[in-house]
Amino acid sequence: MKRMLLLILVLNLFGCSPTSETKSLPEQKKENSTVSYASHFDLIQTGDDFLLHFMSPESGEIEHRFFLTKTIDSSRTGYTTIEIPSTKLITLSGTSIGMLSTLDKQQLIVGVSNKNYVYDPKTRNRIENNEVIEVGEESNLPLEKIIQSSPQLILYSGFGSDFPGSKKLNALGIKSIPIYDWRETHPLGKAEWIKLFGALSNSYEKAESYFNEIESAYFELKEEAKTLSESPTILSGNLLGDIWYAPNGNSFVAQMLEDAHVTYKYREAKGTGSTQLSLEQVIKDNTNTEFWINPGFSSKNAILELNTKLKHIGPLDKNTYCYSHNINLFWERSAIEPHHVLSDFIQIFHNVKTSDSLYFYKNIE
Amino acid sequence: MSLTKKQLYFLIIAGILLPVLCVVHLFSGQISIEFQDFSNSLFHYNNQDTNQIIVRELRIPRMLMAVIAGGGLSLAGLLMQTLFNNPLAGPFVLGINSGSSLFVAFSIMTGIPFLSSDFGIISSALIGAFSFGVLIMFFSLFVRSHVSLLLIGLMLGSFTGAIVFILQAASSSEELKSFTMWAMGSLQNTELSQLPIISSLFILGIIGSILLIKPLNTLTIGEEEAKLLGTNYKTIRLVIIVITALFTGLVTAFCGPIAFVGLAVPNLVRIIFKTQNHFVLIFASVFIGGAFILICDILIQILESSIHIPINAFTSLVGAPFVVLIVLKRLA
Amino acid sequence: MIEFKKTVIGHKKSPLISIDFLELKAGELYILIGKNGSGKSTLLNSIIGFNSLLSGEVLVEGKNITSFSKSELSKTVSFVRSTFPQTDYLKVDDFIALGRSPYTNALGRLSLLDKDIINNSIQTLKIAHLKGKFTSDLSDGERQLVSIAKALTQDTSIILLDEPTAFLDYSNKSHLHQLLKRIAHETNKCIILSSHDLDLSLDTNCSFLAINNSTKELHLVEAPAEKSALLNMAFS
Repeated sequence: MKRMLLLILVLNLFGCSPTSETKSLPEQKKENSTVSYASHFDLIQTGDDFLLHFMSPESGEIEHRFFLTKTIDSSRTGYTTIEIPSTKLITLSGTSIGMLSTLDKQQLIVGVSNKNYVYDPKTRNRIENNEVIEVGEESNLPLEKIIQSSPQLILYSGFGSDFPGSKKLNALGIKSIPIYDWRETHPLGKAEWIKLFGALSNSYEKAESYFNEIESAYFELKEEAKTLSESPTILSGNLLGDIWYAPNGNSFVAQMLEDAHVTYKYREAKGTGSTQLSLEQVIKDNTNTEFWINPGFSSKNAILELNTKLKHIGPLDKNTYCYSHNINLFWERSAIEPHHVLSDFIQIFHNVKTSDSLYFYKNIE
Repeated sequence: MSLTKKQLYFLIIAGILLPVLCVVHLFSGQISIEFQDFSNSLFHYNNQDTNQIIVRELRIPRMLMAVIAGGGLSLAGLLMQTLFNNPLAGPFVLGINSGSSLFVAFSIMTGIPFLSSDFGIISSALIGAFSFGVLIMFFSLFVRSHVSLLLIGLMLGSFTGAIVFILQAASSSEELKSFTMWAMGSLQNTELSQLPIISSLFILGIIGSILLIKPLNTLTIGEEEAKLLGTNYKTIRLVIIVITALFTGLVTAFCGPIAFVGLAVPNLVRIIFKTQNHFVLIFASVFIGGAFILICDILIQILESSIHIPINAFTSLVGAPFVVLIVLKRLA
Repeated sequence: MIEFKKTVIGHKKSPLISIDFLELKAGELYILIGKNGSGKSTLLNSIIGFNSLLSGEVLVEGKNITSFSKSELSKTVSFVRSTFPQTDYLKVDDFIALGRSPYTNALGRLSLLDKDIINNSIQTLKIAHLKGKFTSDLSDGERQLVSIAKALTQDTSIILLDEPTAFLDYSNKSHLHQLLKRIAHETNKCIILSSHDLDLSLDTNCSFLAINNSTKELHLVEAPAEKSALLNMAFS
């Protein structure tokens, strides 16, 4: 009975979500769900344990069910058991490193994809000292090397399906879980995955508290942006071959731009992916656009080398900002620091000092 | 060799069709352009007017490259087909294109900045085309049968393809993306400022071919017969390979690989004009080759809003069935 | 016209025919006979310089064959080979006109004289009816006639023919031999044709070049030649 009361209390405290005006607020999956913004996973507390569901980004159907339990030999029908707290993880996703380091739990990592893409200094160090192995791409993992380092879990990105070898590893007791944060379109949806990492590493409260902090900070900034009168025009996207890819209106970037109270040029485009445009069209549309964000390169020369005709993109000369001067930092930390990305946007576009310096972005030269 | 009235008329029609298609091409983009924009962009250029920028910096180079790519590759194909007495020869089939691709793959994926710059890629494509031209010529010394030579060309292509795969597996995703994009072909990667030199080389190649009309005509009846008629075979063969490598390397360097044009157009020309007179064949190949690529690109631009088809894919879509038709016709 | 001096003809160290000294005159038709594999084609190829001599010299109009430039050679010797090119879309007139290549300019433009010579050849071989056709549509016999017309058009003082009558029927074969003999006399050319058919050749009543089967020497047998002697020499 006491346990029941505690459960209800805990759920009441953490189960409600603030109302938000941001688009695509996902439906509550279950009453005890701790997840408000993310659409591709669900985390439900049951005492000290958790039920973890993963939903397919395509169909929305639950495709994996895991039971995270502190009790040895505990199980639940229909669920794969994972013992927590985890002691050894291999992660193929960069954002996982960012989230674990936020919780100060990056020492759980024993394997990464490629050391060149790691930002976190402690993890880099451990790679140098051979405490962390490199395993390359998801499509071609060295199974024997992985088995040798005896991890409990492999966190993969899931580009469409299970990675090759996952069944073999599963049979040997190495479970794999998909990290679909990169498929989340809500700005806070990505950050919310930190709760999963909290659950795995016995720091759930810390994760939750951190998330609540950034959630408030995010909304504060958003409210502040609304009060600003100007709404400059923004171009986002870049050229690949002959085609320009611009994020669609419901994509992650477009939503953040909306929250930053700017006019994103292609916000009318439907969907969460990107839209293909001809270079002609982009040049024509953007002669008066004030800013270009995420051009994909960190210097003007590099952009022009890609295609000299890009010199006709309106904002190239003065107001182009990119994160590519420190790509690893951006990819590792922007998911868990959406409030900093928003802060950067507001500072750049509205010329309002929201912080001492930009966190991620830089004006390209 | 003879030139009938009918052939002359067709040639003139083809010669007129080309500039007409050029104009259609200029006006077939998604953005609508006025004729004013066009004439202003040439004679009263205002570099602040977006429409003029689009015409001058984007459309004109694209149109000219279409003509040069189509005309150049078709003429290269014609020269190859006459040299090897084989209507199924072409820069692509004989592996000369593979040579360019291989060297460009090396350039991009070794990650050395100089090599992956524009200049580096262009030089690599030219060197690659020439090396493989020499290689296939070397093989032609030992191989009598045309089918055997084609097989060798195809195997060269497979071999270089395998090396390129290995390079791809070892390269970063940026480099991979870069190479894949290159392999799709593009008519939009040249600057107006580069056009003078590209056009000059193109015209040089045409003039070179025209000077070879007589030897080419003698080659139509075979190497031995040509020699008996006084043709200096070794020299002529070398000049043909140089001109072919020039065209192939030039187009591959600035546009990436473009398949089937070199193979299909000369055959089409022979079927239409029914002659082996290279005076007719050379001009017709340039006109009809240019027209072919222009038409493909016009269609690509029309379809742009629904689907983007890279030029290399389009020419294969149209060219491959056509080549099948040719083969069937020959067997009949 | 053609002189052989201590000539040995063959392939890479395997000699086929030896000629101590032989002079072939202009205005004559010579029929080359010998057993299969005796080197008839090789001999013809050697005269035109496609095959290297194993030793000795071949002089044409007093000049060593190896010192002729390609251009000079093509104006001096023409060769009707036994194979016909498999080219598509090649009109008969264009094919014959190629015979004028040694004389035309870089674009291959035909002068009035060139056109005259072409027409003459066509008339001489009576193939005017073939003019509009493609060479790929001709019968084997027609192809041979057309090849000979091309050689005539090339207007060389020496014409070599390798089995030119193989696909013609008997009356045509005979007619062709007579025609060639007449052309040799009238235009003062030296014409050598290799033949399989001894009876037919004898009817032509001209000189023979016979490859001696035992000595491998080339013998000139002046007209009128005797059948049994030739048989003995070349085929026994």
